[in-house]
Amino acid sequence: MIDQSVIQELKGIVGEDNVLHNKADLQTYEYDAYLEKSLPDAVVFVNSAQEVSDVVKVANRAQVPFVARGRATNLSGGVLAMRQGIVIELARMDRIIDIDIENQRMIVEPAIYNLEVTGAIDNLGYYYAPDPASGKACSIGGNVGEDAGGPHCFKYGVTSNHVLGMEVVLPDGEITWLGGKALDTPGLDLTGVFVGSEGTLGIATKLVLRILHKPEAVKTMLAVYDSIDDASSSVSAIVSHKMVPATLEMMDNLVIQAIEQSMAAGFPLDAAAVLLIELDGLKDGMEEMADKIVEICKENNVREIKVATCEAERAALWKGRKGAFGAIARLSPNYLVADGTVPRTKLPETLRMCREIGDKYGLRVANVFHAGDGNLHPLILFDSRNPEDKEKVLKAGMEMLQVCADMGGTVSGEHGVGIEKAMAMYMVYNEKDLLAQEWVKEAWDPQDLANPGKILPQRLIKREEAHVS
Amino acid sequence: MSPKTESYTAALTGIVGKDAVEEKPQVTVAGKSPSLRVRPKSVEEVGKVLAFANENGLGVIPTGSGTKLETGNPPEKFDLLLDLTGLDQIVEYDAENLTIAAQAGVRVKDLVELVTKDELFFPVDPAFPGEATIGGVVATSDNGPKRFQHGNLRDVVLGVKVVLPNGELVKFGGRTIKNVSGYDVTKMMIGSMGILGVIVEATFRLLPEPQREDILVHAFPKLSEVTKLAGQVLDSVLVPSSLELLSPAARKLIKGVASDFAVGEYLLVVGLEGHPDAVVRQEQDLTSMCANLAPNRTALVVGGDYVAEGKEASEREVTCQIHDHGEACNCETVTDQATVDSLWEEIYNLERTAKEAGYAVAAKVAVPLAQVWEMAAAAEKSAAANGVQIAYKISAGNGLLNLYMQGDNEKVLAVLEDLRTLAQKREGSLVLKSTPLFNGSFEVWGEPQGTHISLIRATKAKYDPNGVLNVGRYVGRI
Ligand SMILES: Cc1cc2nc3c(=O)[nH]c(=O)nc-3n(C[C@H](O)[C@H](O)[C@H](O)COP(=O)(O)OP(=O)(O)OC[C@H]3O[C@@H](n4cnc5c(N)ncnc54)[C@H](O)[C@@H]3O)c2cc1C
Repeated sequence: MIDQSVIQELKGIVGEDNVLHNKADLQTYEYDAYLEKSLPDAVVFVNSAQEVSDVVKVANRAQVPFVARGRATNLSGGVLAMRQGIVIELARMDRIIDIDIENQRMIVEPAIYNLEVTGAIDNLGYYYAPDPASGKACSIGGNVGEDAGGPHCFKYGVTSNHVLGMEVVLPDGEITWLGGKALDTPGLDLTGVFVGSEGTLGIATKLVLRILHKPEAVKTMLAVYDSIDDASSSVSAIVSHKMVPATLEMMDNLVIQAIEQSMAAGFPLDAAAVLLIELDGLKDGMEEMADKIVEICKENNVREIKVATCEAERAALWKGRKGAFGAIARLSPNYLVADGTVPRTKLPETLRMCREIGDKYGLRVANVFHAGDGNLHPLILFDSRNPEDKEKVLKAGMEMLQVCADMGGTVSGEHGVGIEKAMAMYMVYNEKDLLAQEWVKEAWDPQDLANPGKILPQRLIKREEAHVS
Repeated sequence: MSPKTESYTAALTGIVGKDAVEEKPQVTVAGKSPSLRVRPKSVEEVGKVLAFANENGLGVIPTGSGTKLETGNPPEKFDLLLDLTGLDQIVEYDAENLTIAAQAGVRVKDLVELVTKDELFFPVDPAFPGEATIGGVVATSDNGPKRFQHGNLRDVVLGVKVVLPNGELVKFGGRTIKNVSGYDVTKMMIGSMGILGVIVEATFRLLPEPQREDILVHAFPKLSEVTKLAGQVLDSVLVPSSLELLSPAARKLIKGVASDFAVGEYLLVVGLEGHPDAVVRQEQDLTSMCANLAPNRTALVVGGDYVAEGKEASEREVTCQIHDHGEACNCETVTDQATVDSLWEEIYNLERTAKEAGYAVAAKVAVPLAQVWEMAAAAEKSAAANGVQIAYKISAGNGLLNLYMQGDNEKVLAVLEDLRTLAQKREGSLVLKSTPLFNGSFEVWGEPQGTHISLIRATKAKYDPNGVLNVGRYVGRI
């Protein structure tokens, strides 16, 4: 527990009403979208970089850890206060600071929802490319924390490719700028290291985003398959025909079932897999490329392929994919997402092995994933009311990540490490590699106050009383 | 030769062999020469050499072909030149999954040749591709015109292996496009100018070769017109892969295909890649946009040869008809890949051509996209006022201005100071790329802005606690 005097100091900074410290109030802040819980000592609603800085300075004086909280949709335990302390709730810092079309940049505060960024510039003909499926519910700050990806990342890259600078409150409370609107700032790429650091190197209070001109044309297709392998081979074949679609997303039968139960997206219930393909760019040549893709899918035994002919049809095809995670609730009360990445050609084999792992533990595994990037998301279904289930699920998840690592891939493609995958880091890095990563943390946060106990297995804090949400 | 140097020679010879150690090599970095050049042939040898240097407090500068060795402040200590050209192996080439891992000493040109055989594309086009090694390119984060479309090194390097000053080999990142497993140290290594460790291997993302690649070249009499054009192109649906402008003086340095073309004028060079129809459409749009702003100028389309057989000829006709139909613009076409490549080649080597033509000082200005034009105009003005000759190249899609200068030392310095002040006001930077004249009297990287010197210093202290690598050469003299 932190001292009452600390609570008083926090109240002095943000006002009486903006500090929560009663257990009942705090319980809302003890979990995120992962399976564990940890209760913080206090939650502070901040409204400016200066307030963040002042709060962090209090934390430093009192040697109390702090955790930046965006919209808490991360899937790896990123905002859990593992050593208690202060949760810095950023929700009110959600303003747009600058829309700079001629320089193709936008500056926003961290808590702005991902979709709101594009929403603000859509009428100007621009958009922000990284598009996590949770875009409606997650913040740009959280995207930066996790280096979030999304269905369009195959062509456009992930968050780190689109965040070019930031104002950040360092772990000792100093406010500084890293990078900016211009490229190639002299000095180490500190922005690059910060993105994906899960709040362990400080708190971003403003973000400089690259924004892109909207493409002239978009073509969306949905291909239905009787076998997952055929769907996977189609993906590889498309790429080897010199095409770089914006999107190559796959959903398997179990996900199709869930989607159809929850929203009737028009996916055939008996299909083994559907592949959502989207081309974007200039309209010239697009028809020909779409025809070529249809041909490739046919060569790979597609059962049927729909090409959207208008925006409404396109939205319909996307609807299923966007709602896929949510729809899983129709199948099962809980699920764990194992977010591994493999070289694309290893997808069929990896998927098969993941299914076998599920079978071994008697757990159903649903798949909805970014096939172009080789980033799979086996959703392991379980019921938390069944105590032995959780243990099985965690084991199965780890085994699936081991498969990804063995295939030459990695243990997290876009959801971050948090506490969930800290131990899985050993699957891809040895002790020396991890020590060299730890130096980053030591250089930025020698006191270990910024979101401690995350990412690095050597720093993992296990919560004995942790339990399933 | 001091007894100490002799003992170093002996020890290092023991590690890499006699033929890989050279005493008193003909290399100077900002006036300093090392006592030894060591050329290890394996990663293990690099580890042992560094561990030795670390134990004995030697100053080490790693290098590939040395094309960017001049960039940086004068070294505080410089005992060993660590030549990495002996690490010349392709480690893992996975054409199907579009990745390649190569050792630091592999030359860009060789890597490009290798992947081109499989109709793949290496999305990095640095200066001096014939010599530049991939280790050097990653360490300096040097990239070229096509970066506009394909991103910078930080967008295409998937992982690196690094030998730390203590001699240990570590890896960061991996070989998948998406990877958020742990701290993204790879990004920090890119452009770190060899202050944290020696990059011995890097894994890159590859792309399918574009179906067609053309270059559109257009002359402009005035800078203000190109400024407008760039604004229009950037705010359009067009997706050129590069958007470069050569000043009249820089244009004069380009020979080959454009030699008798647009003499004395600004030369806009637009790279176009992709589906043939999209390339042709953009040629049409761009020529008419150019013609509106700068009528009665000649456009030149340098066409690639990637198109499926039988198609090329008719595509060409279409292009030419459109270009020829009005009075506004004449069109010439040159249609073979070698010509496209050689024009790029000349652009990549511009810094050297400029140097040979007497432009001894090279600097790079980076500002927000739209401000680059103001910088160019300011450069012209300041150069004229100071009696300094300049040639420059703008990468309009990236907000970069590469400046080549010749003239009186003091005067060149005055122009640089002017431009740095303005660039910093625009939240940008000016970096001196080659320093033969100043020998440390001008801050190579400028006053740090948009970065945090004590964080960089703390990072350096973690990775290189004894101060072995490139000491004093970086931002803030770190
Ligand atoms: C249904 C569903 C679908 C999803 N789909 C995707 C997807 O397609 N792609 C994908 O990548 N992810 C996806 N996610 C995961 C999640 O949405 C992302 O990780 C998202 O980036 C988290 O954002 P958030 O605002 O919720 O962050 P939070 O969960 O609040 O925080 C995430 C991490 O970032 C840190 N953080 C937050 N704000 C800041 C800041 N300002 N400065 C520094 N650190 C900060 C936190 O401390 C924490 O470590 C999905 C999640 C769900 C529930």
